[in-house]
Amino acid sequence: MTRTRSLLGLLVLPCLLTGCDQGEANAPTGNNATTRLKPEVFAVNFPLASFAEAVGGDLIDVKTPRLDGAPITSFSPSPEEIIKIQDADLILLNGADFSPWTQHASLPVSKTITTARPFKSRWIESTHSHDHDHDHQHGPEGDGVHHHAHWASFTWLDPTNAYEQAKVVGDRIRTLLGSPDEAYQRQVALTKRLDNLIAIGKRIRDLDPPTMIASEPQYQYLAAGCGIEVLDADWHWNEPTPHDGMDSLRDLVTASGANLILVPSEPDAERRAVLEEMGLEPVVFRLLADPAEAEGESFADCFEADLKNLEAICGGQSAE
Amino acid sequence: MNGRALCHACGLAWRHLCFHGVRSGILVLSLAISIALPLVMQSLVTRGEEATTERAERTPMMIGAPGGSVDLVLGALWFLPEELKPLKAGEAMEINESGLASAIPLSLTSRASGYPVVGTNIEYLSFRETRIESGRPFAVPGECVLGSEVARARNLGPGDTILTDPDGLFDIGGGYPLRLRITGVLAPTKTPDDAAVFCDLRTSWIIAGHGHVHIEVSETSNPGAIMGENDGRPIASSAVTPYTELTPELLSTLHFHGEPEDLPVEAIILIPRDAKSGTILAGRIGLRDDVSLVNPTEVVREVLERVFQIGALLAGILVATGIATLGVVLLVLALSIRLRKEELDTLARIGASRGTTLTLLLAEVIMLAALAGVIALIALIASAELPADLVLRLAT
Repeated sequence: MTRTRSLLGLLVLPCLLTGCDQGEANAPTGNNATTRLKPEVFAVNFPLASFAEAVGGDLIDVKTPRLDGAPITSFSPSPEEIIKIQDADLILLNGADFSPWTQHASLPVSKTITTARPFKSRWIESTHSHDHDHDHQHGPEGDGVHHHAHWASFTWLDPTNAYEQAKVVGDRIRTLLGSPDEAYQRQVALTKRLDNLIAIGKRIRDLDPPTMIASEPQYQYLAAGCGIEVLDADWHWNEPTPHDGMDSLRDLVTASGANLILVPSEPDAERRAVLEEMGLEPVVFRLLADPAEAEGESFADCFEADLKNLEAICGGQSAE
Repeated sequence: MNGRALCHACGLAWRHLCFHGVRSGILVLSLAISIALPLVMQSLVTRGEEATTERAERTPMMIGAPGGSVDLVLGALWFLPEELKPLKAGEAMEINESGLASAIPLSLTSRASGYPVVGTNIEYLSFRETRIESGRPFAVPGECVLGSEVARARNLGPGDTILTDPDGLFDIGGGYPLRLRITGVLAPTKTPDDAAVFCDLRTSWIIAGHGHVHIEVSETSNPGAIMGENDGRPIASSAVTPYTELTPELLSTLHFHGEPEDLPVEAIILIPRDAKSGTILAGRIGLRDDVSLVNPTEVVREVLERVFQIGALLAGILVATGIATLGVVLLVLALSIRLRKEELDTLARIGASRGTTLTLLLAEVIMLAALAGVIALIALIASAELPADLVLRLAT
């Protein structure tokens, strides 16, 4: 199944993303211009694609934006690429300001679902969007001053959110497929797995986890879901030396007394040395917006492994 | 009377009509109008009924703000400039997420070069089964596709631009018009879609002032753009273009004054997934008093009934006028015979029989009627070129 997606990704996405086969753009507008053997589902990130695959299995073709190893968050399709995406049978968006291009793209609303919308009341305002936030006024007297805030986007890092998003995806996939029994069985299995992740999150919360420093600002939902106090380092840890924000990180370590830092991938030797010098132990917790590096690993596999690792570090059962 | 005599009589009749060209012309035109008017009227009403009913029947359900259902249907289906109260775009999102129906929002407040700008979702084009004749559909805010009539009348095509009309000529504090990039032209459909400009809903919101982009006015990028400063704020000169265009670079600065679900639309077309879903949806919406559910077919039927009543009255008037015209024509002919008494006596003296004289007169009448009939037929055929929904437009 995952191999199928990878192959499709290799064969079809280059067309999707480079806008080849321009002739189709002149075909009848819309959404049924091409004949497909299977319904096509476009997902904006790895969790949603993984949920769709978990429920739809071989009955659907799942596509995600992926460009030459660049992160999925940097995907910014051209109008021609958007026309291709419009043709998908189902378009899975995340919501909460994830993939800003979707706010400017003309997508078919009845085939587009914002999976995080059911829990919009729990969206968290981003603490790291100062580059993008702005207040401004219309007119010299300041009439119409308004503020544009941004939401933290990595909603799936809270296991409860992941569960709800998977439910939305599963329900829509089953509707798309005409509610076959096998899809229902697969959705039940996925729900059980994600239920288990919520339980791990609760166990972490019950362990009274220590304060941690976040190397990236995207851990807000993980913090909310597992009851962890996470301090944003505002440290551009993945940039080459000299790392920007080192002073503020030192100040934060001193002020908070934290000795754990959440990082999205295994730090190289140079960065590990920098962290050790400050008395920080890196805790790898993948952000999971992009597909897992290991072939065949689903979102649930990756998330479960990282949650269990976190649980062990917080003093719970050791990671298997 | 033999054939030769008949030919001579017809020849004489034709020459007489030609000799009295003005009189003959007036008679032919009077007769032609009397014949053509009821026929054209009937044809327009029949075609109008078919076209309006078909468009309404292809639109299963519609919601709008509480108010006149006729205005809502005419505004949303025929893009007539009705004053429609807005409702929140979030209604469409909720209905879509319920899975009961596809909801296609319509924003109908703007115009470009006098044509209605319809802000909607890309699905509207497939819902109406329109085909892009050249170019591609719109994909981002700032792009639009033109109906075939707009493209033909303005000689525009993919790659060209069209400016939206400002709200008011004297509204100096109003927003700049938006320059829309044309990405495609629709194939002719002989529906109101031919005379409209279609764009993304967000484009409509920007035109209406619910969203904007930030443009940096600087001397380096646009020499002569700044003519001074006021408390540190630059004062833009007339070198700054008097319109806004959403370039790909500016799209990243695009933002709206509110959440998309709170921004206004004038109507939402609903396409229920199946009959059961439609019934459930109608039941749910029917319980609310903040939105109005409308069945376009029923509304159009009501409008057509009014049109038919007016049409029947008009047809009666036209028939009465036709009869009066016919009477006048007969009177003119009778008086003409009297005036031609000497001419007819001369014909008798030179040997023309009564039959020949009668044939001569009858031939004149038949020729007049035939010419009038031909003109009426041409008018009837030409009327087929008029928009099928002309009667509905005139009636409203």
